[in-house]
Parts: sequence; structure tokens; C-alpha cells
Amino acid sequence: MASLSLRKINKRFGKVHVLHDLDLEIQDGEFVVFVGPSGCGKSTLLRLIAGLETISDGEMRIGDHIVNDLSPRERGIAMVFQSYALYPHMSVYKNMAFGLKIDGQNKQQIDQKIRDVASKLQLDSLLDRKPGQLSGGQRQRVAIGRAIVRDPKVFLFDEPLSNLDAALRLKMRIEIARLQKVLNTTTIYVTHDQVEAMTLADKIVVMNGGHIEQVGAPMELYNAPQNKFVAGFIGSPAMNFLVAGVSTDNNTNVITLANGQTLPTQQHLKHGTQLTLGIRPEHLSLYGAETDLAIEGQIESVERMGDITYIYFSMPGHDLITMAQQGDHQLPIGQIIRAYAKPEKIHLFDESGKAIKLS
Amino acid sequence: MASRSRFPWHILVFILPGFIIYTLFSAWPLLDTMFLSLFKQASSGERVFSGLANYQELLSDPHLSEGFWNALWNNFKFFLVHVLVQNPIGLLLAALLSLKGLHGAKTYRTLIFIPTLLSVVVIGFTWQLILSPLWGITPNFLKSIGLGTWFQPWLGQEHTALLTLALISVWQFVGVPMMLIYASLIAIPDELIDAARVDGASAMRIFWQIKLPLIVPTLGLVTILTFIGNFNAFDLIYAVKGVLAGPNFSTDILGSYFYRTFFGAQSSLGSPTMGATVATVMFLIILMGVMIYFYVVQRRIHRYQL
Repeated sequence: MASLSLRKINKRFGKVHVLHDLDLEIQDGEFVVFVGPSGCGKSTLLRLIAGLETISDGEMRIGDHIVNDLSPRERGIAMVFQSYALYPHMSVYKNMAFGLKIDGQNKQQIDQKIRDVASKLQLDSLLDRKPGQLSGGQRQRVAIGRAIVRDPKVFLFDEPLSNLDAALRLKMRIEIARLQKVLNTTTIYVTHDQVEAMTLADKIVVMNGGHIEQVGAPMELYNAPQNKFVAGFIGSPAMNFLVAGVSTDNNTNVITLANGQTLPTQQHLKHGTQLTLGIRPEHLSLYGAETDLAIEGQIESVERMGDITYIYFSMPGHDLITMAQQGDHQLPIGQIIRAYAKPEKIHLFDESGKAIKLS
Repeated sequence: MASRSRFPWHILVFILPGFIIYTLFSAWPLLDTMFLSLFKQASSGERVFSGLANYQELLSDPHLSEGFWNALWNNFKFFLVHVLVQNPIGLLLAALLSLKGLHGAKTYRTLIFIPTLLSVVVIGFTWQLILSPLWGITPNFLKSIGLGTWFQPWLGQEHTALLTLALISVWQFVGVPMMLIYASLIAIPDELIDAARVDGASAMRIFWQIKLPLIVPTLGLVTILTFIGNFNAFDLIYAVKGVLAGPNFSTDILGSYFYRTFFGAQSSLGSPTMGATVATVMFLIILMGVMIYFYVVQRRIHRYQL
């Protein structure tokens, strides 16, 4: 078990600069999820931490040791790969024993550890099988077992659930969360699925274009995204963005929507500033008070899940607006609809995408 | 409603072209050769059915069998050199080429493969020039680096000629096993190698314990292709040593022995029927080797889904 700290980490592949001055502190026992769109550098960062890629610039510590030049084994990490990467010619037992043998542990010790972990993961009956004889979920558990048996300081998971079907993914997600709580080992988990990020993480690191956009607890990111990217990435369905501007009304600044509606603000915003207003689908409602923000549009599509209804409506000059309503709502397509939002649920972003407080 | 099923003519149409070509150029010549080996040719030119007499003669007649057993034994040695030298070097080159971040890998790959594309006649002639004690570059080259005493007329000595020819053949064809093994090495997923690195395995251990077991099927395939190629070999011996496969038949292999038997050489007359017998025996030897491979070796080799 160990903490992990990154200082001004850079990675270049030839002339391509993929990670820019990353700073990150991970506490001992923390479950950290790196999330971002594909190509954001999250997997590269994980491989740097693993020691599979060299760090171009910067300093990385695990515990008190600088590990920049240490091999994966010397770093004391274990990794679970997207494709599981089990050795196809070795039995489950040998897959788990491979790293331990290299560590030079004796046979009895190895056997003891493997049987321990196997019973934790219900792999007992599979120890003699080859990976080719296992189902996807079983292979996933073996891959996790192979990592656990090493008793590492840090666990690394590289999109471990993306090859599983939806039902199994949910099951394994809960299993991984449970295991991490039991083992209490520092864990770094890479995914592009923000649901996995929200459900598993103690701390989420949102990445985009080789930069860290925001670091925080899931609810922090949900409630107070620091910029438009994080706002749009965290939360499902994604946040709606409306075009807005600043105008002066009786010597006070007000935020003006495209439909002419205004919202009071105490911020000193310059007249004529372009703004983006963000509202999460679940914060839009069919009913509201007069002080609420109200927008109107024509219904394009309705998705009824039974417990929740997603209503998509169009507003000129915007992408489709999504509204999530609890319960079942039967609404005809083409109808003009009015949606309300409480002012305190509204997010505001300036031209550069940075969040600004409404009041 | 047509309830009676029509004869599936279209299947016949699809099969026929392949069937005709295979029969005409492969099956029929083979069967005809086997058939021919059951006859003897009288001096009048008449062919008389003689059963298996040709085979008996080939394997036991002192005049014929000595050459045959010599050629067969030489052929095994020729094959052994390929298995022990060509395939390990091919494996080594493939392993080096598949290393990440090797500069100029494509150039090496092409250069090593080029000799395979050259005519055997050119290769044979070139190596004769290189190794010639009179006007070759080897004697002077060895002298210039102080190893002049090491030089021997390798192609001209009974105890070195076959090995030298085998090594020339290895030099020419090493690109083939290299390419096949290289292709199967790069098919091993990167994540598997990454996993082994995370487990703490060194490059050597990764090669011996992860990569090698996964390419065993390819090594088997390479070995059987080498076997077939070697037992059908003829051209290099003919190009370098001529039809007599000298000195004193020390480089004679089944291919060259067959050629002399069929077409004759210098004073001895050729015999199409005895030639057909040798050809059939060669076919049976290769068939046996391939069958042993398929029924014994390949069944024990596991292919793993990567």
C-alpha cells in the first residue's frame, strides 16, 4: 500500500507531445479513476505509472521512492488489461504463479497465496483450465486474481470491463468495488465510461487532450464542474448547453438567453460577453415557478423507460435539448413543450469554457 | 411447386475447373509415374510389366542401391543442416526483427529475404566464385584478416562439400522461415508482452516462456516445409556440382540421383522406368514424413487463441 504522486509529468512520442505537465496526488488506499474521451492520454498515463512507457519529463513517486527509472516489478504495481492478457498456454494456476516465481518465492508460499486468492474470487474449480476454456467473466476474474496474488502497492486497471456484456459489466463493477474495499490497496482505474467512473471512484481525474481538466470526488464533479468539458463529460445523459449573453438592464448586468429571457446575476460581467449556460437533463422540469428559467421547443423524440422518460426537443440555434422526467410521460412528437429549470441548478461558462458562479 | 429436387449442376460447375487442373497437372502425372515404375524397358524399346521388380532392384542391386542409399543418407544430412542451422537462425532473426524500436527493421527484412528471390543458378555460380581457391575472394580475404591457414577448398573436398552446399542453401532460404516466424511473432498481442513485463519477466524469459510456446505451430510448419523442400531439392547441387554431384558423389541427393537415373549421365544410359521408380520412392518418403508430422507431431501441438 502506498501513496502516489506525479509532478510535472510530460510524455512525448518523438515530436508528439501527449501529456502536458500533469500534477496529481493519490492517497494511500484511494480508488482513483482516470476518465476522458479516447485519445485523451489516460491510458498513456497509466502505462507511465506502470513503467511500461518511460517518463519524458517530471517526477513520479510511489510512497517515498522516486520510481521514474524503476521497472514495473520494482515499482510494486500489478495491472489488469483490457484484453485480460492471460498467457494462453498456461493454466489459470500457472498464470497466477508466473510473477511469483520470478519474484523467487518458494513453491509452498506460491501455492498458499494462489489458493487464498482463488477462493476469494471463486476460481478454485478453474485452476487447471487454460484461458481458452474460460468465459469472458471468468477470464476477467483470473486477470484480477493474477494481479491480487502479487500483493502490489498499487493496482492498475486499463478499461477492464469494456470487453464484457452489459449485465456482466455491472456485476464485475460491483465485484471490483467490493474487492478494493476489502484489500484497501491504492487503485488506479482507466475508463471512458463515466458511469464506471462515478460509481467506483473515491476521486475522479477527468482528462482531455493530454491535460487534467479537473480532479475531485464524483459528486464534486457533478455539482461543481470547473469547466464546460467536465460539465459535458460527467453526467448521463450529457448536460445541455444554451447560448447566452450579457446585457445591461436598469444599470445591472443580466444574462440574456436567445429567446430574450433574462436572469439576474451578481457577477461583474462585461456587457456583450458571450456565455454558455448549462443545464443537466434531470434538472429540467415540465412544471416550474415564474422565477425559473423557461425554455421552449418542439418535441423531436421521446424515449420511455418506464421509470424515467427522456424528452428530446429542438430549439433554433442549439443541439437537441434533453430533458429527463421521472415516471412515464406520453407526449406527442411535434408538440411545443416548455421546460423549467431552477436558477440554482444552472451552470455558467465563459467564452474560454471556464465555469463562473451565477450569484 | 417443384417438389422434386433438381440435380445440383451448379456445384459441378464450380468444382470442375479445379478438378480438371488438379487432375491434369498433378494427380494424373503422379499416378502415371507410379504406373510406369511397374514396367521394365527392354532394349527394343518395348515396355514389359514387371511388378515390383524395379523397387527390389533399386533397394538391393549393388550397382543401383549403393547410389540410392548414399543419396538418401546425404539428403538426411542436407535436411539436418537446414533444421539445425537455417531454422534457428530464422527464429533468431525474426525475434530480433520483431523487437520494438529496432531502426531499419524493414530494410534488414528486405535484404535478408532478397537471396530467396534470386535464381538458384545465380546463387550457385556466385558462391562458386566466392569460394574458389583459384580466383575466389575467400582465400585472400581470410589471409588479409590473418586466418589464411583456415582456408580450404570447401566445395572440392568429399567431407566438406555437402555441408558447404547445405550452408549455401541455408544462406539463400533463411528468409523464408524468418518471414513465417516473424509473422507469427508480431501476431502475439502487445498486451500479453506488457503483462509479462509487469509480472517482472526479462526479455529473455518473455521470449522463452511466452513467445516461443505460442509460435510452436509455426515452427512445426516451417520444419515440415523445410523437409519437403530439401527432399525435392536438386537445382543447387546441379548448378554447383553438375549431374555427377561430386566429388565422388559426396553431394548426391535424391533429386540429383533421380536425374541421373532418368536421363542418364556420361557413360550410363537413362531409364525412364527406373527413374519413375526413384521418383515414386521420393514421393513415398516425403509422404511418410508429412504423415508422421500431421498424425503424430501436429496433434500434440496446441494452437492457442491469442
